[in-house]
Amino acid sequence: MTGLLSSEWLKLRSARSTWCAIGVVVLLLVGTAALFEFVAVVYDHASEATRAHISIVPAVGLSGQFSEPLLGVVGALAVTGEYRTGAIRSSLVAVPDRLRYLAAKVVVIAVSALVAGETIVFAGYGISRVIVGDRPVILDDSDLADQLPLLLAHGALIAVFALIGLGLGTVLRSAAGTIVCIVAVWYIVPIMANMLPEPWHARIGSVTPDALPGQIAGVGNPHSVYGELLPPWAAALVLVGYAAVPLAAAALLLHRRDVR
Amino acid sequence: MTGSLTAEWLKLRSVRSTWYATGVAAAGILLAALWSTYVTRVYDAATAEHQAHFRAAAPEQGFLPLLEVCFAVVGVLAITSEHATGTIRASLAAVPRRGALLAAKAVVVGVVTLVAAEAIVFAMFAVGRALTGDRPMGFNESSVGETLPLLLASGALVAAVALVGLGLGAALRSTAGALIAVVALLFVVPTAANALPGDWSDRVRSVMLPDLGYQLAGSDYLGGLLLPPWAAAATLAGYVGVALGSAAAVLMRRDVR
Repeated sequence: MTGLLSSEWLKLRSARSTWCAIGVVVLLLVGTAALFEFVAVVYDHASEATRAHISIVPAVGLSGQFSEPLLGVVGALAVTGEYRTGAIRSSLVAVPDRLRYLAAKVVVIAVSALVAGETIVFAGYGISRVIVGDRPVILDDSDLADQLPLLLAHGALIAVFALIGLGLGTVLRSAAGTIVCIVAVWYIVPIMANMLPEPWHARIGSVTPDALPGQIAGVGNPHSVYGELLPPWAAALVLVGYAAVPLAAAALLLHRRDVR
Repeated sequence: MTGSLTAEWLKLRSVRSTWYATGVAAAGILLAALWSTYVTRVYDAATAEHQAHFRAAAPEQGFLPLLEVCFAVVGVLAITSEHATGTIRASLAAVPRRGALLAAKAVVVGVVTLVAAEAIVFAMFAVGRALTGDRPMGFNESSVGETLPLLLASGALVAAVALVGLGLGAALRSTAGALIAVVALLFVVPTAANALPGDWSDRVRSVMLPDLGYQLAGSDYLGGLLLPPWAAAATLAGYVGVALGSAAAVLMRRDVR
């Protein structure tokens, strides 16, 4: 298994797309920093009366949320790249046990994406706090200890997106199809749920991916379109399900289907 | 030019992905029907007092992001699939003038996505109106004539998004990269713009790609209207122009791998 893991790790870090994604993550963090800097400047130049109306969502709602589809693409390309170039054939000659092959990919992607996700979330938090200082502009300004569960859960959500990408990529064997599905889960379904009248608005809004960290941490989803009907354990279960269902389908199809 | 156009039309209609993407976009009509049925049932079950304030979103606007993404995929794959499979070499051997190849692709992608998107938007509109009937829910209270500019502009926006996808695909030569770039333009940058303080969010939102449709129609959908229709049209043309311009620059200067 060590050999398998190191080969998957080598594939991941030698693909250009992985480095492009890291570059975009850095850009996202720089953009988030610029946004907070801009808000701070506006705040400093505003009169006392208008200052009360100046606010900005926490950084996790910007750089964190935007990183989800990006990491999803990294997970997808880890397998669709192999199908596109035909490398999947030599991979499966080297590792005839297909489930072990998939398991190694899952471990490498899960660990790297979790590290990346937590780094993005905590870097965003740190950057925004340093820039904003003691100006009361961030909508959720509780201290780090209170926010820790929320931030940790959000980092985990980013890793789950990478696993959704890996699972769907194995099922669909196409980068384009997988990316569209990721974007649908990440953005399109939530905004459509947002249009629905109650009670389905809150029902669907509670099980969309970005609604889960707030419910897992037990702080709900204030200042957002998401619902908050699930207790923490149920939200955690849904989060695991988002990764587990596509991966189970991937394992089944990879095991049964011929490689083209 | 007729030959290149015919060739591009043949390529576009003979790949599976075009039909998958169009099929998913057309499933929006089904979603519009489900949505309209659901709000109708909620309306009928509501009290008279609640009915007086009942407001629902127009299905053809609510499901427009689905169309934008699906037809962006059509635009992106029209060129990146050629790079992925290597048929770009054969295409450029057949049409050595690279600008002509890109122009033919742009015309075919633009016309096909415009026709398909308008058809789906109008079908969603018809389904929404037919199922909600004469129950006043806000979105279905305007006449067809009043809604027509918004419907036409929504389809035009989708076609423009497909052309932006084609341009980004040709410039980046990667399906994943181009799709992420389109998603950034459609969803990420506008959401980030919402976070700006005060008037700044409206100002920046007014030039965001998905917000140009209703401004193009001069509609007060979503309330905020900053750009007059001509300015929205110019901004939309600017998005398409920059994407296709950079595609032309890249295609003409770089070697094909």
